[in-house]
Amino acid sequence: MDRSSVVKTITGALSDIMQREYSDVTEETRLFEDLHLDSTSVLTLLMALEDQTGIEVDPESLQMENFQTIGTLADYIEGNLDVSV
Amino acid sequence: MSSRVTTLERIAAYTPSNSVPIEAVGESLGLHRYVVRMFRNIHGFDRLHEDAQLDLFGLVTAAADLVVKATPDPSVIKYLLFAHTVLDVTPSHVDAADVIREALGLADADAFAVTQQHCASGLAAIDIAGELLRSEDDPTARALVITGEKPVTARFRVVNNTTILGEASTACLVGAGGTGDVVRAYGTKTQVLLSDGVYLAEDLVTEFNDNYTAFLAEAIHKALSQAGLTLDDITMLVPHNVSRLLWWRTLDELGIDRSRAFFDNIGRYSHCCCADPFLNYATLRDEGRLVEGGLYLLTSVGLGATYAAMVIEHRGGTA
Repeated sequence: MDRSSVVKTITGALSDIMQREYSDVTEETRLFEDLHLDSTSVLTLLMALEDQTGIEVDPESLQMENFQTIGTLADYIEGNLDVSV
Repeated sequence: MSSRVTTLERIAAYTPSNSVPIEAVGESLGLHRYVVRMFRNIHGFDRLHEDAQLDLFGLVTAAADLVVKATPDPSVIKYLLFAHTVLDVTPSHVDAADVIREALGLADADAFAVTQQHCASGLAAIDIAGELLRSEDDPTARALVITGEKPVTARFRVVNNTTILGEASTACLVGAGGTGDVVRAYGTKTQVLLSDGVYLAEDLVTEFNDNYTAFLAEAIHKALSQAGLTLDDITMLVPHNVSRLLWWRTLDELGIDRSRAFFDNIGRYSHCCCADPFLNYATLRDEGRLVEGGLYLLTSVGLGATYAAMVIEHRGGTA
């Protein structure tokens, strides 16, 4: 899965979870400040990404810095895709 | 006022035999499948017990009856304290505590509810019961602290998308200066901004979540300090059954190894309001895991918010 596919998967999962379209987000878009997600919606988003990308989320390894922006979340997904390979 | 210590003479716990996976509850409540997945994979909930045919009084008396029947002379029970999370568990013209008192045949007991501290009301009721008994001249006087409620509304079955609720009831026969397990200390931390319970505004939910681990740690340290103990003295943490992730963070804050905390019932029963610490203590006893002379740290947190911790010394009796 290349970078643009990962970002596209994240925005698709966001739409699924939050029940709205996110057509104008970029890698710099901040999850909490710009999209107004809370910790529960971020965890729910992770569950969707787990389902749609095949990564396995380890609750113990979660760090807040993974969820600052769409880009840092994409980094987290890519890092875990590498592990699962 | 005497100096007799509060003692737990006998504890009973009841859960309905019907156990369902949380996915069944999620489906009935219309929760998003990824929210349910979060409850399972992140927070550690697996199943819960419930019985739609059992009403509130049937649930509560199932545990309470066990204690009353095991008490040789139930007339020693002078107080019945019904601790519950939801303020109104019956229509306003029904005094639930008094209905339960009558059902248990406790003609001479004063019955009342303890509820303002929500899920922390159970531990508060133990503390209150001890104070009431110390004001009695009769050292044989006892109090019965009972818990149990039906999470019947959607708002109450899933709290703030972090906790999912099941059904359980407990009963605890409390003495002052008795031979049962000793209450060594009771510490609380109160956060005074959050009196709306499950109807908290979003910003207050965030505030509650942000302060949770630090405030709970503060209550625990307060109880330990009262008892002249340190965390190293504690045999086992007996927690309330909320998010496993939240607990891991709290343990990290406290510096307690996970092997010294009892989390098995989070998956088995989910969160059962005020019943949790008593239910978990009874499970440890029934599994033969309480040791004589062991010190157990019971906790509860009630929206509102009250963070509570109680240190119990197990004497090896029937409690």
